[in-house]
Amino acid sequence: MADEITIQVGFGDQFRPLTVRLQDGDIAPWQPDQPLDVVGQRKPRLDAVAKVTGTAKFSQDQRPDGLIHGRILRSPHGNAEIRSVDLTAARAMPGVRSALTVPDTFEDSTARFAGAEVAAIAADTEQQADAAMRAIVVDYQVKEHCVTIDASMAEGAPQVGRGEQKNVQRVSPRTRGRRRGQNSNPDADRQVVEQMARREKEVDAILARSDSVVEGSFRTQVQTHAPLETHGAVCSWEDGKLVCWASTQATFGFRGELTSDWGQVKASECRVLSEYVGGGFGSKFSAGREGVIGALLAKEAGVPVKMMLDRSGEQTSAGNRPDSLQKMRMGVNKDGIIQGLQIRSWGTPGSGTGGAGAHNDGIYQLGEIDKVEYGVRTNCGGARAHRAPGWPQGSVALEQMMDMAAHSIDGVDPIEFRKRNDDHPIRAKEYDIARERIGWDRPRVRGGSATICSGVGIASNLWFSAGGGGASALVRIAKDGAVEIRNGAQDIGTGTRTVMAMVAAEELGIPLEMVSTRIGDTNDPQGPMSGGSTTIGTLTPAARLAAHYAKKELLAVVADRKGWDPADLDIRKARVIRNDGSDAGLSFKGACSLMDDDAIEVLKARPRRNYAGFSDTNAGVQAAEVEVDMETGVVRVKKVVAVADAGKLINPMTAESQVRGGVIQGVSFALHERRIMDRHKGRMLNDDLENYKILGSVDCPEIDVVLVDVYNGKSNTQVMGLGEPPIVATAAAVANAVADAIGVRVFEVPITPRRVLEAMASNEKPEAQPKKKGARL
Amino acid sequence: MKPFKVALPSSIEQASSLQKSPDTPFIAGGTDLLARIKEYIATPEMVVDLKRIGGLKEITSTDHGVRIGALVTMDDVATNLQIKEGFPALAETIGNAATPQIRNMATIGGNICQKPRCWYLRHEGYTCAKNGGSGCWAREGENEFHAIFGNQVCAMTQPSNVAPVLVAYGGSVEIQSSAGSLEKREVPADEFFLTPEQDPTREVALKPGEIVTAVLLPAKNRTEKWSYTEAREKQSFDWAQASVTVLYQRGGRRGDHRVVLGAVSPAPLRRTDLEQIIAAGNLDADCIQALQKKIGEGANPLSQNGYKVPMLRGLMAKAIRKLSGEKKEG
Amino acid sequence: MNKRADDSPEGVSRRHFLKGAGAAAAVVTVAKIPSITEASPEVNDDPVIIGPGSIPIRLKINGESREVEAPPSTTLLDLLRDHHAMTGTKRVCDRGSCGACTVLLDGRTVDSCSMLAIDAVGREITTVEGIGTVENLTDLQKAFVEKDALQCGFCTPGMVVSCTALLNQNPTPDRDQIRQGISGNICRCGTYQNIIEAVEHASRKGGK
Repeated sequence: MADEITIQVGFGDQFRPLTVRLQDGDIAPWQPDQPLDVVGQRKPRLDAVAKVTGTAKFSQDQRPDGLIHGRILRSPHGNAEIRSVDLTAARAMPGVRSALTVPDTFEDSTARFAGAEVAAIAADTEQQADAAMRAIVVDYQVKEHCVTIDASMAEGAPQVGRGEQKNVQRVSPRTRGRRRGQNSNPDADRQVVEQMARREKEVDAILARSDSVVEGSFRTQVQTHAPLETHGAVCSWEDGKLVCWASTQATFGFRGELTSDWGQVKASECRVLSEYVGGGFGSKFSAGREGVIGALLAKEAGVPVKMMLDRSGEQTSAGNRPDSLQKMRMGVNKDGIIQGLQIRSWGTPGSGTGGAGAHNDGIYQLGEIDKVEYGVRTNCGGARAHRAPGWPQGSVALEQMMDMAAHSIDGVDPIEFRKRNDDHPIRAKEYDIARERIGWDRPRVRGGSATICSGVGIASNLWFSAGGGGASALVRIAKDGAVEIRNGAQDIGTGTRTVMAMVAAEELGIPLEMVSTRIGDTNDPQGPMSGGSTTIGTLTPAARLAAHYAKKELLAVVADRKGWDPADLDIRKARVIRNDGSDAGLSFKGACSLMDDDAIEVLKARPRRNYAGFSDTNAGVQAAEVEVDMETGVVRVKKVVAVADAGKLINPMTAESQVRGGVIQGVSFALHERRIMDRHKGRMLNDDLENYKILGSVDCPEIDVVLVDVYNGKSNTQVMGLGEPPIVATAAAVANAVADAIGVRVFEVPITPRRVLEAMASNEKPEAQPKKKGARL
Repeated sequence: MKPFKVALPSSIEQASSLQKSPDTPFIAGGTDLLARIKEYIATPEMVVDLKRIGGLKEITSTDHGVRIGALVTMDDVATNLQIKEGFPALAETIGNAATPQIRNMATIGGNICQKPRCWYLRHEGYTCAKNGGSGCWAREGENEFHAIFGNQVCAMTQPSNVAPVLVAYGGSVEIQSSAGSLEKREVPADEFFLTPEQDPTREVALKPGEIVTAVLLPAKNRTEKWSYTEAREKQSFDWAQASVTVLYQRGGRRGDHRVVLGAVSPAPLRRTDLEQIIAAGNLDADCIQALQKKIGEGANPLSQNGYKVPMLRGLMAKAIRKLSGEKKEG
Repeated sequence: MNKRADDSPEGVSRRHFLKGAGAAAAVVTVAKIPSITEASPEVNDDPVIIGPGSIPIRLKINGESREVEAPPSTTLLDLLRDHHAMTGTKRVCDRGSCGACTVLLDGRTVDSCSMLAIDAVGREITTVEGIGTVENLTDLQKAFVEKDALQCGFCTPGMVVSCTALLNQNPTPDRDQIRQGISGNICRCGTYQNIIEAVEHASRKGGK
């Protein structure tokens, strides 16, 4: 039975009523006038004590009896065919218990990048596994390689792919009806090409009519995820059943790959455990070859195998954020309204072509858009979704175009310019908060002859993560008053464990200390991957519902024993109370002791659909202040103000940490991180954590987080995810701040001292100035 | 790692006689050697551990200056009062280097003998002039962090922060070996660090069996007017992309200046031409201008590292401003 | 558990005969791996040569003397994690660049992946397991919890060890000193600011 109710949605001074039809069994989201005891409080994580004492056990730490060690042999060649793999000598080495080859296991004889898996071995000790790995004899047919998009796009470049695959492939607009592996369906393709030509003409004309056209060509580099705990799993077979302690951000996804794609074990006979995960950032959705390899090596050996990547394997093969080359033209009128935007972009996701797009055509009202994207194949490790895939790189380009456009029309203030082209109700407020807190209007030393220059830049975030169906939570209230909430998904450091318990505690009317969470076990109810920033929005409504109905069952027991009316009862502050607020004379524990059974267990699924809500999207604005040493080109980000909204905040402390984490990765992306490939042998030269530069403590800016609480109304907890939004704007804000500081724009990230010095030296070049109207890309 | 034997000599004589070839390298702190063993670019049967030999772990005053035992850790050097007061540029450069953990483990002897960071050299499978082959991968490859001076044969940069400062102070390296009946010999720093032209297979002038036993700093070259500046991408653990060490009026002697460039050449690069410019005038804007004009002379930038020239100019300006006592950030 | 090449039922004081490279065979007992911190080390007639196979290695870890057999080429990190099953200390880069393997040696931070275990003989090793317990957190650990100075938790043991050493050496560090103190510890999730606040909080309370 669907209940129609009217709720208040909004934030700050902007509330409005919204009528929603509650889905079967769902409950109304908390309202502004409802006092909350747990939700909205800064609460320490439930797993914080385990982590600070080093007692939290990650996959890397698992030590089942008889554990042996797996190693993967990787191709040293930029591009090769595997003609043969001879395991004979390796198998004969001391301690070796199992071995396999990639061609046999995965039916794939290609080694398309340096670091591609070729074979694997498991032995009693790591040293024995290393020695045996080095005794594997491989016959490679070495081919030519391209390891940068420029090399791959060049005239006469060697073919990266196989068969008919071209190095450069248009990925958007898509040609419908294109079959996998084929480059195109000629007729459908011709239609798309014609459509593209029309569109280009249309937008060309719009730009030609605009009062001002700005043009820019931006580059961003490949960023690896670099989680501190590498990929992999400890795999163990017991009586034909597989148990994997996996470092994963998708326990059910990991299991799914082992059971369906690979097919040697049924889902009911495969258990994935993931109590603690040392980071994922989007790279750990799948079991990967290493997961399958671990399981197979363990099966043959008859003992558990620890198959976890070393740092080099992690850096080369476990995913990355594609690079980008984005060429843009934007037309704007004197009144500050954007008329149109033309985008051509390229990026490499490795030897494939999909997934290298950049989100550079959203957030603002951009008028008419003509966008074409190309994937460029390279012989490099393949891309995987990386925290806000496509967005940080897209923003680096779009937000700099916004600043350039603002400057081109009599120097309209960049914030004012954005406001004129932005109708997001939440972000409208966030600009002002960011402006004030970064000291936007404070005088700064810019450009010229000063040795240290200072500047500020701004950029926006956008996300859409209210969560969805497909998850269930189980709440267990024991007779002794212990409460546990269970879900099979994982907590990769986002605080999932804690927010689930907080929501359950709030709904049950008991303090957080009385609730524990059990997660990371596929034997427990279905849960989502930690991806798309959807976890919290997916799990917490399920948690709340399960708690709600568990409470109802408990109160039914109480009512029955005491002869009370169950509709008159509730629980608040661990006491049973009546609707008039009076205490019923029974504690929560006392109520639990009235059960006949050991426990009440309620399993509830999250409702499938979301309600209309206040806003489908999270907004967000970030402002960065930088100092640039004009003599050495060194950039220091002094401060980032990050204004963020994420629906109704459950735990502002963990939400703040999510924002700080995103900002830090964004600054690192802006200044330091890039994959460096050797053109000679096609190998990744910085497959470590020294030459691959991750921001450290001394580089860390002061981060000022302002969280805007929004009664969003899209689900019964009305929370939105906050994992990805905070990384979208940061690098763009930093890039704008650098341009503000030195008076010259650096068109490539990371903004290294080299790039700053080169930009200042080439200040005379035309790219730095707005182009003539109508000029072609 | 492939397991290896560990020899624990208790005297220089024992250590020296054990270390006959690259198959039996010395190990001190181990921060460099262990990493290379893990990458299979060093494959010793046995390592000769120096840390149980007496007499190498003290910092002592001598008639001539300060003697730093080769096994003194970097942190102990940087925090030592004699060093901080007498040779502050050394304390400064060490404080900038690596991480607190590494500074607690790495020894000064190991620091000056460390192998280059060149990423070709540090990946298995690249033979070059340094490791038994010929040629240089970086020259036509990824050379953003490589040398702009003296890079014809090999484009490595001397990674030790200590090296250019040691050259500037006119320091020397005390070496002993069992050959020559344990006689100590002292090699001036500027002869200790070798260029690829001198010998592409070595970075320092040590023969098999020779052990660095101390680093010597001469009191007569102390000065209160010094500057060490470097620039790098990260301010947490990172390597300098360029550095400039300037000692002004060493020993209070007019005209006795030292300018040594670091991280831009295979061995620390003393620039007498820049010293002469400083000696010829005052520490003022004209001096800076003249130095900046000259500093890039002789540079042979490769495809990606030309930025090191303006970077050096910037560092040189900072050095002069610091020496002249300008309030501005140095 | 891991099979060892020469498992023996004998107790602690075993004697191994080992061949040196050209030198006379040296007899090594447990007590005889010389510590590198001995004030005036005894000069043996012949150099002691150990390995490549396993030898007894006795170390003082968190105040307790413990012995295992392992090759002398074993790093301190691997000895702690694999031989002593002390998994608090993490392996992340295994090259001394990230600090996840940080332990204290005589109170000073070191990257345990970048030293041989035998170098710790005769010295005091402190791992995260020796700094507070679940029932009895140090003030610093409590501050970490209160200030949310952790996310995924993988860098956290190394951070706790580095911050503990920092506060032991400097009970009232300013922000720059705290940053320097953890400059050898990488956090990928981005907890630096929270860690700095936690250390400040702990130091204000006078704790470690």
